[in-house]
Amino acid sequence: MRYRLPAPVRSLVNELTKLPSIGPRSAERLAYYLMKSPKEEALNLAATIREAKEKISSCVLCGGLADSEKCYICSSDSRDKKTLCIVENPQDIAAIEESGYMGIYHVLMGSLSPLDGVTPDDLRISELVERIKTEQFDEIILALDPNVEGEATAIYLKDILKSFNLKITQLAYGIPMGGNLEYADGMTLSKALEGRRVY
Amino acid sequence: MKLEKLSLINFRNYKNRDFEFVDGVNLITGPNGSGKTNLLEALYFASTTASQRTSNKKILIKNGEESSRVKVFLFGEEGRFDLELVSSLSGGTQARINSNKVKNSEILSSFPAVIFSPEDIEVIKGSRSGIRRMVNINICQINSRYIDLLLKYRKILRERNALLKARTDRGTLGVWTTLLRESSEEIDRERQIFINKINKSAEDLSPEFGLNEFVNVNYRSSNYTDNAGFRDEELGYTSWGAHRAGFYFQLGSRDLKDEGSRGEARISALIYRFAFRQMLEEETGKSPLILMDDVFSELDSVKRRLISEKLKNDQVIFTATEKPEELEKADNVIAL
Repeated sequence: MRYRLPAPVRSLVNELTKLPSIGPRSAERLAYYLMKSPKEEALNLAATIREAKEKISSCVLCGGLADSEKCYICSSDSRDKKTLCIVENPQDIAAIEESGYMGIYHVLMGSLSPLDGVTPDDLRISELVERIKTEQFDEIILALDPNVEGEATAIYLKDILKSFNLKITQLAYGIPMGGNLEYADGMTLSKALEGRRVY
Repeated sequence: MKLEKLSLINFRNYKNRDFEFVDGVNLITGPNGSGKTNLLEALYFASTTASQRTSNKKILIKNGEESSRVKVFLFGEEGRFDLELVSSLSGGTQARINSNKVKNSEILSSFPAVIFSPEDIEVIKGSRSGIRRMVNINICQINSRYIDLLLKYRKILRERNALLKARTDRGTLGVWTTLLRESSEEIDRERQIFINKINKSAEDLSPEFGLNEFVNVNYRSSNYTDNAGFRDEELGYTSWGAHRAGFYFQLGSRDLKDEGSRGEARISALIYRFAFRQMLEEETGKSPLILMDDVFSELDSVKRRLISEKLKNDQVIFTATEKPEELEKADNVIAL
């Protein structure tokens, strides 16, 4: 007979498996850990999740995470408000911030995918058009994922944005820094060759 | 590169069995149903991660088992190495070289093999999709980028079909059409390059096999037109593109599917496989393993001698129900 966890722990495991990259085994391990740990620790975790969820909302401008109406990037005076970088998800902002980019952002909240039922109406595209009309951008940078959904979204956006007479650029594809050429796959290398420049 | 040993677990009719091979001619004999073709299929699978007979990888796993393992031990310029494919009913196929996980596409360049199969006639005289599958596998064997192109194409196709099926185009169909056209044209280009090379070799090979005309493969791409676009919206799926394109085997300008005898189809298949063997050696710099599934039984003695002569420097694995006289001096005989 397979050991049966008590019902409350089973519900906990069930909730944990809904988190990304947590499978049933990992969920069980986490649940056992929480049951074993001091009561304050588990309750503190629950309270922290609640507090974060209640206090954090989406920035009214960019759609990134914010603890007030606007996020700290959109409220900052030291950012270049003429350059707008379009990304798929809030976590992409953190990645681009690592580069030293000083412009501002717009989060689409996903990419076009008929298979997953994601249509343009599900993305923050009307908000984007609204921002382009009210804020004065010099350049729009498309920083979408280099997969077919990202490509489709980029093509769709270029079509919508062309009437605004803006400079639209797209992130280059290529070889990761610190990597070895021999480990790059053919597809990445051919994109990198396509985008090569005069040295 | 030479094959030294094959080790099978739960593959087709094999529970757990090892086979050893030598350089030169290896002959596998046994009655019908003893597993000769399954053995060649296992080797072809280890080389290409595909079967020459089926696109359903699940039936390669022995009935009633959850997973199978095919492992080959090879000796190449780089020394001895082994290559392993573990397939499970639930989760696809995992490739390993020297026990290290690798991408399935890496297998293709490590262990080149060419199969001559009696089913080739059925493929040539059969459906467009059968020939497409055979040629797709062969292009993957020489072109490491091609598998990525195919996977990307299939992804775009699935997305576009989902949109057509749901009939909820919110102005995005054109986007998916653009992407699919680009991707389809890229695949067309790679296929045409491949076919041109095959046809060039086939020109030299055709007279050798006693043909007055050249065997050639004709590729007809399936392109987007405005009409096709309207048709798609009515049908609810994509009716054009690389997944609908056709390869046609021809003798001169005669299509062998409808206007060729079985004999002509058989010789054309042989010539195609020899042309591919030559290309594979040129592109990979390795002499491929030759798998000959019951090829001699339906050929006259002139052709048998010609084939033996052409393969005299190769490592070859023949299967036969009885020992053909051309293989009297096989270097290694495995009786099943």
